[in-house]
Amino acid sequence: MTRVKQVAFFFDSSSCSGCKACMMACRDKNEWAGENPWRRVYEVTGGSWVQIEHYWENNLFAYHLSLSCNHCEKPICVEVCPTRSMRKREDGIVYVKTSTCIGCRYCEWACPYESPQYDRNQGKMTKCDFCLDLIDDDKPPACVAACGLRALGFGEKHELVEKTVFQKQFQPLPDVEITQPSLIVNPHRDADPAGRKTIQEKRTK
Amino acid sequence: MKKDHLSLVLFTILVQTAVGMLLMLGLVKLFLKDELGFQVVEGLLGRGLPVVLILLLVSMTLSLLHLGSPINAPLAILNLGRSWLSAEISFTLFTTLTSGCLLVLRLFRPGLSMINDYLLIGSCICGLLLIVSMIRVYCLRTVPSWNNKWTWIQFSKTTLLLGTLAFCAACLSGASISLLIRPAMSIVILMLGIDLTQSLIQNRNNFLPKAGMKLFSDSRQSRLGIALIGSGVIPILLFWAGPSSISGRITDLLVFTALGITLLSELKNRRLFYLSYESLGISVSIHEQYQVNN
Repeated sequence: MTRVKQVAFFFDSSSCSGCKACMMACRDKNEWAGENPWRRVYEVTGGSWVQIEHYWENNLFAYHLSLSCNHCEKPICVEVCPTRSMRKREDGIVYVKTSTCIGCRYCEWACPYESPQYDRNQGKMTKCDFCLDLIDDDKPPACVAACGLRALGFGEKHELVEKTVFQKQFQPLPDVEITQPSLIVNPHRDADPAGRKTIQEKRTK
Repeated sequence: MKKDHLSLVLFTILVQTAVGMLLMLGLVKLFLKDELGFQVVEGLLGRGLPVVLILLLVSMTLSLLHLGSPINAPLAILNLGRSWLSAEISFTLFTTLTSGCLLVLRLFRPGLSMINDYLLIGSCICGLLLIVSMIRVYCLRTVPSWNNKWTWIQFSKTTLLLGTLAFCAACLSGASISLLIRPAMSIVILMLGIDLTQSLIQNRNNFLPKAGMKLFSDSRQSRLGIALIGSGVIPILLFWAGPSSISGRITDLLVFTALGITLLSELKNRRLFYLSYESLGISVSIHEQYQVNN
């Protein structure tokens, strides 16, 4: 059986330091305005003080998540766009055909990853297109090339899934079954699900 | 509230009023023709159809204001097979076109009653499909605060409530008042009952961040106060007094006041609806985490 081609991002949360080089490289390459970040780096924090018999210990944690469009296998933005401006290529990349976009922002409402960004100057939606020009030249996307810690990568989704300790659910992202995002995450040890482990559970690991 | 949402609030409310009114005209024409008589029904249609058409045209113009590139607006019907937004826009066009054709035919070829009837049924069906597709636009599987039965109830209730009051304000006069004012006010009072029930139940289990709950609760209370006057006190007074005991001018004044106050209440309600947007995404997860860890 031939497998449908689908490119995907790989993100290693355990080695990301949150330096935002990926974000800056994306901005340099794609020239998006400050209010329309195509790639964002989130810091997920949590934990509190826990009483263990006669003393207190904390289970605080922090980890990062670098997120752009996940070029979902079932992209809801493509489904809801009234003008068919949101399109999915044969290799699975989701992009906006800006010449036909009406700027209704319905895709912005629908996307659970806040990927489509509204450009007020153009009056149209913009989003990560996986650096289409670079991909077509067999080069990595700007964000992947800029990651000094090699926390970001890309490749064929099924190959990445086979190579990685693939975690389906990763806090704070929504259920993958909703849109089937092409984002393969090697999770941080505290991210399953974030902040809900007790300190005793962590110790027994 | 974002400026972009204001045009959507006005668009949805005006379209629902127009469709509600169209449905009332259709019901009267198809089922009460014999009781009311040909002349009275024709009079109702003659006064009602221009109002429906004006409401639809104004709302379509308003809907363009929230677009970033309105010049591309005609392309919005291209994804009819998959996108409910495309369907909503298409059915708005179909409803406007059929209502417009009906109005033109009635003015220039009044003898074609059979074609007029079919056109009226056609516009009512298009109007119903428009309301269904409008509801489905907001029932996104990634937006749990909208993707529930309350969106269906709220949009249907607004259609019937404002449609009935607009029908009474624009069309009823003389003989038609005596026959239709009580059934119309019954519908309005029933819709108020649904509104109150929805507000009481939905307030308890709404999918909203805790920080926003108080604001919503306060706004809901003030809106319900307005709704009680517009769709409760005045319609009850009109129902109780009936057509004969108060003069026509006072009846007109009361109906217009009820419509104005109810319109205000529904605009506030729709604004709250848009403010309740909460995507099943990163923001919700962070709220959940905030609750877990504090």
